[in-house]
Formats: sequence, structure tokens, C-alpha cells
Amino acid sequence: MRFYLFDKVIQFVPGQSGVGVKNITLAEDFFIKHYDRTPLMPEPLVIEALAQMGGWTIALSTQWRYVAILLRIDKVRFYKPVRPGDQLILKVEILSINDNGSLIEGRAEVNGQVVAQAERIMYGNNPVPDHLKDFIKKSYIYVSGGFLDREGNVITP
Amino acid sequence: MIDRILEYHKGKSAIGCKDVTMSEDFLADHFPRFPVMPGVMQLEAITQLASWLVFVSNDFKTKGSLAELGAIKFKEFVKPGDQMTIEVFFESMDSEGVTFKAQVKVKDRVKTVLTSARLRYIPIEEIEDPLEAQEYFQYLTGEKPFGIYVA
Repeated sequence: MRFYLFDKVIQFVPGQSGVGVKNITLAEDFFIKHYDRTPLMPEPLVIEALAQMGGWTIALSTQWRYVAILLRIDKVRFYKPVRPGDQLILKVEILSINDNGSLIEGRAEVNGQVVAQAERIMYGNNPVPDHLKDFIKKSYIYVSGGFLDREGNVITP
Repeated sequence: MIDRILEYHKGKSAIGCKDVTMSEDFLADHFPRFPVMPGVMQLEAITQLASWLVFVSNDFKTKGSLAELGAIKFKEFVKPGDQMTIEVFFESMDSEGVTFKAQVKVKDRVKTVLTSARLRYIPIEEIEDPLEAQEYFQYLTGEKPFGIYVA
């Protein structure tokens, strides 16, 4: 499988919050053995989806100055199993960003019902060297379903 | 290629859903900078849904494989994050196969239209275990819950 755990960003407030979408399809590789007769999304991957969405929100909020690397996850609850055909709505809120790290809160919903919640996800912020900024920017645009206008700003549909 | 079957009417029509997600392998090369669902993959999803409808319409005895294709129009791109709703309508059924039309929608916008196609029956014993296929169909429609979890 490809390790992209969110498909597009539907809402973004710089420095505050982001909302993304992850579609769960039966064709995904992790359903092959998880489980033989009951396809359920592995719970750690729900967290990874939240974490990727959070990392993207941080990177965009800081204008690609940092790459966020997962350091610590606190108090996670899984309320319901996630099944093929579900559309996970990933909601992240930024609690704080500074030069060393960032802190976010994440919530995953299906049809308006919370399926997983992480009270705190902590990232280390690694500065991006100038020559890599363009590459990072392009890859973030690729995964988020966004594109650039003439001034180089990201527009998300 | 089908995640759920939302509704079906034996011998008439079916509605199914398929989620498109970034982690699918074919999006890596289609295209490197611009991920969109390949048109033939949409066709495959339509065919699979039609095949399930053949399966239930013929009392779980046959499935269908594509024999003829009229015109298929890809009007707009289907992108990762979209939920495809696939609608299949049977036009005529005979002893050899079935003629149908179909369309793919994303949130009420029609993305792809298949004007007509034909499936040829294949006996289920030749391709799959009949009981397993029947059970799998019930999973897809939700008639039987997935394993021990009941939402």
C-alpha cells in the first residue's frame, strides 16, 4: 500500500485548525489480513491518519518552514470500528506551535459520530533547508488535493 | 472494487459505493503529479456491481463477465477523497446474458456515463466457491453484519 492516509483537505484556518478526508476502501492492503472475515481498519492507522493531517496543517501554517515529526501521542480513545465504505473526517486543532515542536488535538468522525479521539499529539519541528522547500511544498500539495494559483498560494477545493 | 451495495432490485437496478483513496497503488503512476481514478478502473467497478446484480438476480447461480461495450464517457475527473456512487440499470435479461447501462456519480454530479454494455453469464462454480460468494454478497449489502461487530 502507499502510505498516504489522507486524501484531501476540505477546510483550513492558518495556525488554528484543519479538516481532511480519508476514504476507506475494501481494496486497501491492510484489509487482507485484518481480519480474515471481518475487514476493519487497524486502529494505529486511524491515529496515523490524524497525525498526517496534523503534520500537514502545521507545515502549511508555518509556510513550509518545518517538517513535523511525530514524537508523542497522549490519551487516545477508539469508540467504534472503522469499516470499508466509511469516509473518515479528520479534524485537527492546533494547540501550540513554536520553533521546537507543536501540539495538536485530533478527532476522527464517520457520519458525524466520533470514532477516535486523541487529546494531544506532539510533533518535533524540524527546519527545512531552503533547497528542499520547493520539494516539500509540492509533495504536500500532491497529498492534499490542493493546487497553486499564479501567486503560488495553495487553493484547496 | 465495490465497498458497499446500498440498494438492489432483482433484475432491475443496483446502487453501490466505492471510496477512492490516496493509498491505492494505481494512483502512484496515474499520474505522478496528478492523482485521478483511471477510467478503466471505474469501468471495472461498474462491471463488478453489475456482476453482483446478475448473481442475485439469477438466484446465486451465475456471475457475469464483460462481453460487449457500447460507449463510455468520462466527463470529469474522479479524485482521491471522492465517494463514487455507482448506479446500474438492467435493460434486458435473456438466457445468455444481460444488457445494462450505468453511471458514476460523486455527490450528485455525474462523472461517468456508460450508455450500454453486455455481460455474459458464467456459472459461479467455475470461478468461485458459491457459498463464500453468497456470504460475501450479504456482507456487501449489510444483510449480514461484518463478523462480530454490529454497528
